[in-house]
This record gives sequence, C-alpha cells and structure tokens, in this order.
Amino acid sequence: MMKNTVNTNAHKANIKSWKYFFLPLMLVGVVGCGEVDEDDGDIISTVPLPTDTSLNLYCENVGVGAESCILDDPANPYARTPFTLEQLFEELDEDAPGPKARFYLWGTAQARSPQGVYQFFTALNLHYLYGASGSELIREQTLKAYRALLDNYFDSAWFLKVETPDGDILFPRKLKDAVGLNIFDPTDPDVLETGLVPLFATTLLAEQAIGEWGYAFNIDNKIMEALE
Amino acid sequence: MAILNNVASVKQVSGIIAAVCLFFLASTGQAQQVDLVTTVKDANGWKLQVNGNDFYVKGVVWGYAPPGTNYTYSLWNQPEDIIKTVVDREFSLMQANNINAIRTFAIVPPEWVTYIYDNYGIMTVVNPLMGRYGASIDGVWVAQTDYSDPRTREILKEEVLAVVEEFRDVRGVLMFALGNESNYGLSWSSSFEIENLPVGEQQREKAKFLYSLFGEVIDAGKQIAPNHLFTIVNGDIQYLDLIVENGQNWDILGTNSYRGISFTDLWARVDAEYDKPVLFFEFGSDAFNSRDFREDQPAQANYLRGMWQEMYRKSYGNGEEGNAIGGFVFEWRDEWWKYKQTENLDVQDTTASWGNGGYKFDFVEGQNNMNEEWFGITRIGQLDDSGYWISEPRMALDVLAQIWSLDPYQQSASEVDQQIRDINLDYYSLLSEVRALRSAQEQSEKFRMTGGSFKAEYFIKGRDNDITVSGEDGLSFTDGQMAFLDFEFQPTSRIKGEFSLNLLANVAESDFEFRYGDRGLPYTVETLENGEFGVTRSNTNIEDNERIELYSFNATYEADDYNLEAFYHVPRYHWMYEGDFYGLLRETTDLTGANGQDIWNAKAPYGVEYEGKNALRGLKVVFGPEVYWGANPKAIAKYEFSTDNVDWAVMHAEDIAQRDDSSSATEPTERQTRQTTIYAETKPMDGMTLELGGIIASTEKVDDKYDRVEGNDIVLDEIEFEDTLGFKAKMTYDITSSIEGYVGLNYAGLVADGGATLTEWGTGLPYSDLGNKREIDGGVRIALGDYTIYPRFLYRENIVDAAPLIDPVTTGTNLSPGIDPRNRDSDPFAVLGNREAESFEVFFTYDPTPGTWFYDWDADNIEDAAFAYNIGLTATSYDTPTDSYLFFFEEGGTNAPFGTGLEAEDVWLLKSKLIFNPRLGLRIVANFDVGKQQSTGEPNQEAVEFAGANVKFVVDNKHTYLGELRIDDFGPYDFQQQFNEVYPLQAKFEYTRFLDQFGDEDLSSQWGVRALYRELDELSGADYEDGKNEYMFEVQTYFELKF
Repeated sequence: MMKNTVNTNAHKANIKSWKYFFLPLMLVGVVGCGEVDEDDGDIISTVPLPTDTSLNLYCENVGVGAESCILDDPANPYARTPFTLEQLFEELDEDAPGPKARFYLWGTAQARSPQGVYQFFTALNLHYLYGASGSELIREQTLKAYRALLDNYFDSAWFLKVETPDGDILFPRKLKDAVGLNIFDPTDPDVLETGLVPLFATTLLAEQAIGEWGYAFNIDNKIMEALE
Repeated sequence: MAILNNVASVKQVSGIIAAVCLFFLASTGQAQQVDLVTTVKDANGWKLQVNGNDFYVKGVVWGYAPPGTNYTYSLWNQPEDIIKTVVDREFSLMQANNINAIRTFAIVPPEWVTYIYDNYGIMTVVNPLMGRYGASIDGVWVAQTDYSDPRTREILKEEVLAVVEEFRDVRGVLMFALGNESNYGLSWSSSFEIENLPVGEQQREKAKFLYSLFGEVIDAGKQIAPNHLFTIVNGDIQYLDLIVENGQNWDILGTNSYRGISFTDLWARVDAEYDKPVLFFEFGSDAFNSRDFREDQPAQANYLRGMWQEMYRKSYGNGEEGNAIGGFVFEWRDEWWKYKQTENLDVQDTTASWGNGGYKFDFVEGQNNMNEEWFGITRIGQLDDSGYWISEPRMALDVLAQIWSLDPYQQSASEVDQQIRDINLDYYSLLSEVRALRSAQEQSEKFRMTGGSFKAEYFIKGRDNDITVSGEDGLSFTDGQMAFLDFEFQPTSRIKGEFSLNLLANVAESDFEFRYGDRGLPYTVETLENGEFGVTRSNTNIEDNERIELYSFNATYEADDYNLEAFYHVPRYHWMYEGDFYGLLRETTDLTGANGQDIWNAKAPYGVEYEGKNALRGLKVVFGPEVYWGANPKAIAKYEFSTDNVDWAVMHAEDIAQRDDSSSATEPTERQTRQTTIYAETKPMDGMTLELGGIIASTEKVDDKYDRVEGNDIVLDEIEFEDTLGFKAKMTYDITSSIEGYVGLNYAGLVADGGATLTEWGTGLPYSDLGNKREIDGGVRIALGDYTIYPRFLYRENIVDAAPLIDPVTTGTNLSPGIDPRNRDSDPFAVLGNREAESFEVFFTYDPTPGTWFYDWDADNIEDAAFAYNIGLTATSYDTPTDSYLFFFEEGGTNAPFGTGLEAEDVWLLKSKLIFNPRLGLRIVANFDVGKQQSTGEPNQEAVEFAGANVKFVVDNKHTYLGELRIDDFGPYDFQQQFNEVYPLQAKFEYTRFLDQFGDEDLSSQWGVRALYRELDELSGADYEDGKNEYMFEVQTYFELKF
C-alpha cells in the first residue's frame, strides 16, 4: 500500500517537475519579446530650423544663466544635437537661418555648459529677435540675458581674430563691455556685432537700468564696472 | 655440503625465529602501551573501565580558536612551539581541575593525543564527524551529506576507517565516536519517494540511511580495532528505535543533550529500550542571561551542578538505572565565531540564536535564550606574551572541579549527593565576582584601549631623468610615521562598540603607490581672483592637513526585538545569500587592499542597520550616507519570509540624494535612483533549486528622452514604465552527485539597473549591473576525483544598441541633428559593461582538500592541500561598441564623459593559481595571468596584451618573500585601466620579517623592505614626461609595531 502511494506521488511529482523546466523557457519567451517597438518614438533625422521671429519663451528664464529648460523645449531643434565647440562656431552658427535658430543653438550650448561666451551670444540673438519682432517680452528676456552675463560671468572675455600676413592675432575683448555698448548704444561703431536696435528709448533710461542692476557703463572709455 | 646446508638452514630458521620474536616483542610492547578501555555491566549497572580500573568520564569539549578566527583555524597547523604552549597551558589547567577526558571536533594528531595523556593523564575521544558538516565526494564539496547515496556511504566509510586505522595503536585514545548530532542534519534533497512523505516521515526515512551507515562503519571499525570502544554522537535520543535496530554492536549510547537542569526520562528510556551505558558528548548551559542581558555565571554553575548531581545518582550501584558513565561538558572555553560564523569574529556576540525552555533562568516564551558564544566554563581572556589566549575560569569550573574530585564509585550516592549540595555556591559566586572585578580592572569594561600600532617608513626614490642629470643627487628621500589607536567601549550591557583613531606625523610620499595617510600630504589650494583679463590664480600650500582622523567605528545596541548597528568604515557583507537576488546591497570588504578604499581615504560603509528579531524576524533595514562603497546616500529594506516550500524576499532601495564626490579617484557618481525587487527560491525536485526574481528600477526616468538609430533614421523616444521592469531566473540542478549544472536568464528593460551579480568559482564572465539586456548564462561543474572542470558561458544582447557618433549638418533651413554616444548623466541609460557579449570560459581545478575551498577569499592563507592549483581561460567577443563612459573630473567636481565609446573587440584572460604546502611551516602561493583586455573608459587606444606573475613564500610564519613581474600591463589602480595607462614592465620584490608568532600580515609586528620598479613609455601617463623618464624605482623600508 505504501509502495503504491509512493509511486503514484512520484509520478505526479515527475509531471509537476516539468513545469519548472518550462518556467525558464517561458521566461525566454518574455525575454524574446523585450524589443523596442520600431514604431515607437519620433524620427528626427531631419528637423526644420525656424526662420520666423516669433518666439515662445518655454520658461521664465529660458536662455538666462544656468536655466536648462531650453533642452526640454520641443521647439528647440538643437535640443538633442551633439556638437563640438568647433562645430558650434564654424558650422552651426554660420549655417543657422536666422536669429531664432541661433538663439536656440546658443541657448542649448549655454544650458549644457553655462559660461560667459554662450550667455553673450544667447543674449545677442535674443536682441536680434527683438529687433525683428518688436516683442516687448523678448526685449525683457534680452535684458535678463545681458544682466545674467554681468552677474555671473563678469570677467568673461571674447577674442577677436585678426588675420595678418604674419599669422592670426587674437585681441581680447571683455564681454561685459560689449554688453554695455549693446544696451547703451548698439549703434556705436565699436559694437561686437552690428545691426542691433536700441533696447531703450534713451541712453538715460539705459543708464538707469544698468545702474539698478548694480553696474555703471562709462560711455567715454566704453567700460562696464560693478558698483560697490 | 649437507652439513653446511643444515647450518645455513639453522641460520635461516634462527633468523626467522629472531625476527618473529622481535616482531612479537615489538607488538607486545606496543600493545602494552595502549590502554584497554571496556564497559562492564552487572546487576548494579554499567561502568567504563580503563585497564580494568573504573573510569567515570569527567570530560569537556575542547577547542582552541583565538578571537578573530573561526572554524577554519586549526591549532595543529601552527608551528610546534605554539601548539606546545597552548596544549601545556590548557591541559595543565584541566588537570588541576580534575578533568580526565576531552572530546574535540577537530581530530587531535596522534602524537599530541599521546602527549596529552602522558603529561596530563587526559584521554581523548577520536571523533570523525562522518559528513556531518558536508563531505568531499569525488572532489565535490557537498554541504548536505546524502547518507542514502552509495558512493557517499562508501567514501565516508573509507574515511572513518582510515582514522580508526591511524589511531588504533595510539596511546591516550579513550574511544571512537562517530558524527555529531547527525540526526539533525538530514536535510539533503532526496528521492521523490521520500520527498513526498510528510516531513516527519521524510526525516525518519533518511535517518534509516544514517543509522545503517553508522552500523556498517562501526562493524568494520571493530574489525580493525577490536580492543576499542565505538559509539555515535546522537542528538538526544531521537530515533532510539533505529539505534536499537542498528546498534546492538555499539558499546555506548553517545548523545548530546540539552534538556535543562535535568535529563528527565532519558535514563529510563535508554535503560528500558537499549540497555547500553549513556555517555554525554555534549551537555551544559550558556553563561549569558538573555533575559537580563548580562553574563550569568551563577546560573551556569548551578545548572551544571544539577546535571552532574543527577549523572552521579544515575551511575553504577545507586539502585537507579545505573547507566550513567560520565560526560563532556560543552564546552571548555567560549568560541567567538559561533553566532555568525564568518562575521564579528573578534567580538563575543550576545545574540541568542535559539530557544530552549529547559533553561528557565532566562527563558521567555517566544524568545531565544541560548547564546552560542557563551557556553564556555572558561572565557577567553587576554593574549599573553607567549601567544596564548588565556582561558579564564568561570564559576562553573570552580564548582565542577569540586564535583570532579568526587568518585561516584567509591562513595555512596547519599555521600556524593551531600557533598555536592555542600558546595558553597555563594563562595564561588563571590570568587567569580572578584575574578571578574580584577579582569574588569585590567580591561576597564566601559571604555578601554585595546591596542594599536605604530609604523615608520623610509623611501628612496629615483627617476631616469633626475639620475641622468644629477647622478646620485637625483635620488630623493622621504619618510613617514603613522599610528593607530584602538578602543572598545561598553557603557551598558546592551551597547558596545569599538573605534580606531589614526594619527599622522610625516607622510612618506610614494611615486608608485597611493596609500592610506596620503590625506596628510602637502597640497596646494588654487584661489581664483578677478583680474584685468579674467581670472587669475594664486596658490596656497597646506602642509598640516588632517593629522588625526577617526579611522573606523562600530557600535551595536541589542534590544529584545531588534538589533541596531552603527557602522563607519568596517567590513560589511552583501545580502545575496539571503534573498538579494539583484545584489542591491553590495559587499564592502576591501578596505585595506592595494585597490581598496583606504588609498582614497574613502570611508564606506557608513550607516546604520536595523535587524528585527522575534515577530520582526526577517526584516532588515540599512540606511546611511554610503552603505556600500560608491553608494549614493540611500536606504534599503528587505523582508524575508517562507510559504510552504518557497522562500521569499522583497526589497526596496531608495536613493536619498546623489553623492557629490567620487568614491575613489575618478569613479563617476551615479544619478539618484530607486529599485524594488522580489525573489522566490524553491526546490521543486530532487537536486534542483529554482530562483526567480523581478525588478522595477529607475522609475524616476520614465518620460526621459533618448535617441537611437533605427536603420537610417535617428529616432527620439521616451522611457516608458515597461522599460523599468526586469525578470531573472536561475535553475541549478545536480545532474549526478559529481555534476552540477545551472542556467540563468535575465531580461532587464532599458533602465532596469540591478546591482552586483553573485560571482563564484573565480568566474571572469562579464556580468553587468546595468539594464538594457537579454542575457543567458550557464555552466556545468564536473568533478572527477580531486579535479574539477567548470565550463561556463554568457550570451548577452542589448535591447537598444550604443549610439554611434553622427555629426550634425545644416542644409538650408533643415538640420540633421546627428547623434552621439550616450552617457549615464545626460541620458537615461548607456550601453557600457552591459554591451553585447559572447563569452565562454573554462576553469580546471585540482584541490584534494575541498573542505578548504580553493576559491575562498582567503584561500592563499587557509588552503591546506599539499598542492592545489587551478587554470582558467575566459574569452569574450564584444561585437559592438559601447556608449561613452564617464569619469569623475575632480577639478570640476562633476562627471565628464570620455566622448566616444570603446570599440568592438575580442578579449581574453588566462590565469592560474598554485598553492604548495610542502611541509609544516612552508607555504608557496603563485599566480600567473596573461591576456588581452580593453580600457574601462578611455576609448582612443587598442586593447592591451599583457602578462604577469607573482610568487610568495611564507616560511615558518616568520618570513615572507614576494616577487612580482608584469609586462605591458595596466598600472595597478582601477583608474589606470580607466585611462589606459600601460607600463612596459612593472616589477616588485618584498621581504617581510614577522616579529611574533602570528605570522600574519595584518596582526604581526614586522619589518620589511619593498622594491618597486617600472619602465615607462608614451602610454605610461605623466611620469614619462615626454620621454625624459624611461624608468623609475623606489625602495621602501618599514617597521611596524603592533601592540
């Protein structure tokens, strides 16, 4: 009697045991299904660059300081574009079709690696956009971006390259001073980039604004200084 | 001629007669040396007699394991002067206290059995454990001995009979006893027939195999040694009917019994059912009161007194059963390894690990009260000058010495009883208190300094360029001094701990090595100031940095329902053997190694652990700033439980923040994350273990974006919830008793990152903790006698491949944005160590003594085979490139990517270890490796083909000689492989002289000299100095005093 019982159970156990062999095999099936659906996601092999001058600010401080929301802005065509310093200056900036595209380009660079030069060109292209759109919102964002350079990267320099028969010569130019000219008198012949419109109706208003930020711009020597 | 022949014949016959006489005399002489041990019975009961004289066994279970060691320690492997010191000290104390026999778990070598008997009159039980704690079956170490397996039975029988053969003519042997509570170890996976019986019947069916084997072995043993007694060591009198059935030829009923102060009906049952004398091989009481949480010497003494009183009363001639012939008190001295066995070995643990209602002085229903590390009738005292850890008598020994001075055969029961009652327990209690007070004065119980060390060193350094330019003046010199001070504290009985301080004077700066204490090297702080053209920098030298620091700290609080442990830079183990299938809590044990934490002044593990007891048993929580090396500040909780035949574990790990600094030099930090896992383990059939697990990880990354290449397109996608999921299974199966196979499957979604993988038997398969994989691995371990062959494989695919580098291009008003290799900071995942792999390896091992496992972490020190070795080849084909690795950029205080990934490559590694123990006092360990390996970060270089070897001689525990040579290999530090720093030649020679008997690199005072040499080329990093230095060397001398 005992023997029969044992054998019966043994037989059942044997059958049961096969499921444990099947379990891993079932898992193999699950594993095999672990593919990324090719239909998932959006193809971004080619994206159009904006040529218009209408800019929606993705967040309050987009393009200002270390704020990185521009990287999440679906309108930013450069948000996921890898680029080197060389590609940024010599290819992408030159090939961008307008200030809005350039704003996204430099804003992206600034968000990834905050520094004075990127901040300056982000502000500069906002400035151009303001010139093209006349949007008060963009004017205010331009001023925020300029101020961010003064507040965060006051001593940043830009090097102007002059080609000579003996080779290239680099001249340092303090970006704070370039910001001063762009705000105080963007028509001054010493500005870094031309074609900018005034941000203030009068130089007095510009002077007042700069003063409220804690800085003073000397139009005679074209130097920006921080007030103690 | 005939006469001559007769003369020759006479000579031959005389020679033969002389030889026979000599043989006879020799045999007789030897036989006279061996005592005749017998049992006798008459109407008054049973007696044991030695050479016809009554011998009541007044014994102890004896073992000697110094603090810091465990069951792997063997006194008999130590130098002879150490053995003799310990034996003389221990047995003179036993002799003085009237002990006449010992039982040991490790078999005492024959010459020492005789030495102990001749010098101290103490006899020894030879006790082969017969597979109780595992057995080596044809070269395979089987942890759960299967007594039903014919081959196992054959081997165990051979082993025991070999011991009987060895000891049968050894003077001092009291008897042979087999096993140790072997009836409690019947947990092997058995046949379907047995496994389908109810649990109790399963055990009984298995027990039949055990007892029949005992019977077979004892029958055969008696053939070899007919003049010796044989018995077994049973767990209480369980399966007494099977003992009766199989043990009619056994001389004694040997038993371990823990029934409390009385053995209750044991005497009567044995008398009625078996009619053999009873000898206790273990009985006793612990000396720790778990209810009051304090040492309780009077309770232990009182219980032992009661037990012996009953044993004497139940002995010959007292009108009762008359079957008691003595016993071995468990145990002679405390053992500090017994609670966790491999952890806290230098601390006497106060955790009660099992409950026994027979010990009413501290029993509380539902709680444990038996403290394994407190059973000694002596406790472990201080280390004396001769290297002996003193046995300090407890009150129980004082009381037992009085009891053992009595002779139950010469005095009447009432006299003996009266004399035992007359023992003045108050006096001995007072004596023990005085003794404890004196000990406390010596040790200052609440706070005391326990030791420390002082190290002085002096280096001579030279480089190619300096010597070429300046000759001898190009050499440079440096010296250093460092001290450690170690302290213990125990402010209350439930709180105790220890800590170490490190003090620096000068710090010797090595050009070769990063070293503990480098924190005190002078360094320069760079200060940034605004100037006309931007930032200008100025330097400030700091020369007296951090002269004193807390090196390590550990404190425990033991409550009734939980234990709490605070830890700071003390070794801690993983939980992978207790349900952590995904390895979320990593091991942190490498503190002082060549690539360990100390060289970076890292302080992990750092945190607090809660461990539930009683109703909360199975719950563990650990949390802290760095609970394992490199961890983010995090909390991990685990709960284990069982249902029917399945063991479960549920875990959650939650990062609280991202660490802000590297854990070493350039190891990148990891983003804050979380993981939840579930694990189930079952044994569905004979010899099979099935483990299943699931994980949900990195849910914070859901909706994060990532790019991938799909055909010719670049696709922007998002992490979805299903990308956080993973499943894992592993099935292990004993195909035969000598062949074990396993197969594992692991699917992990894109961000389903787990933790460490449990790697055993020296595997080099490229497991990874990262997700984004479909993986299958497996292997078959084949044991052929003392040889093991272990082929294994791993195949892995990625769900999403690494991203290539495609530059952005602007065409008119369209941008082709390109793509670049991902990294784990900017992207939700990256293909790194989890890259596609086809890997195969085979390890060949020769180890005739698998009880000391060849792949144990300290095999170099504990492997006891005369010769053991392995050789293994791991070959891996990485068919795809990786994404970009990160490194920690210290100046910027942040991670930085290498930019591109490693290229597809085939790599391999062939390695071998050889361990020789040609004689006592000489150990030789050699390692060889040759291979081709890639960097672990820096991508711009081809894989390195290298070779290396090292050999170490340890002579008489006093001298070590180490030589090492490496050719075209990475430097010794992890970051050097990360940054592809390769040296054409690296050489090292070291001699160390130990100044005490320990012969231990960590424990011994020592002096030594170490010479280091490197050749350099353009791949060798900054030291090359663009060709100025083609070699460099350093000679280090040191003296280290431990106190």
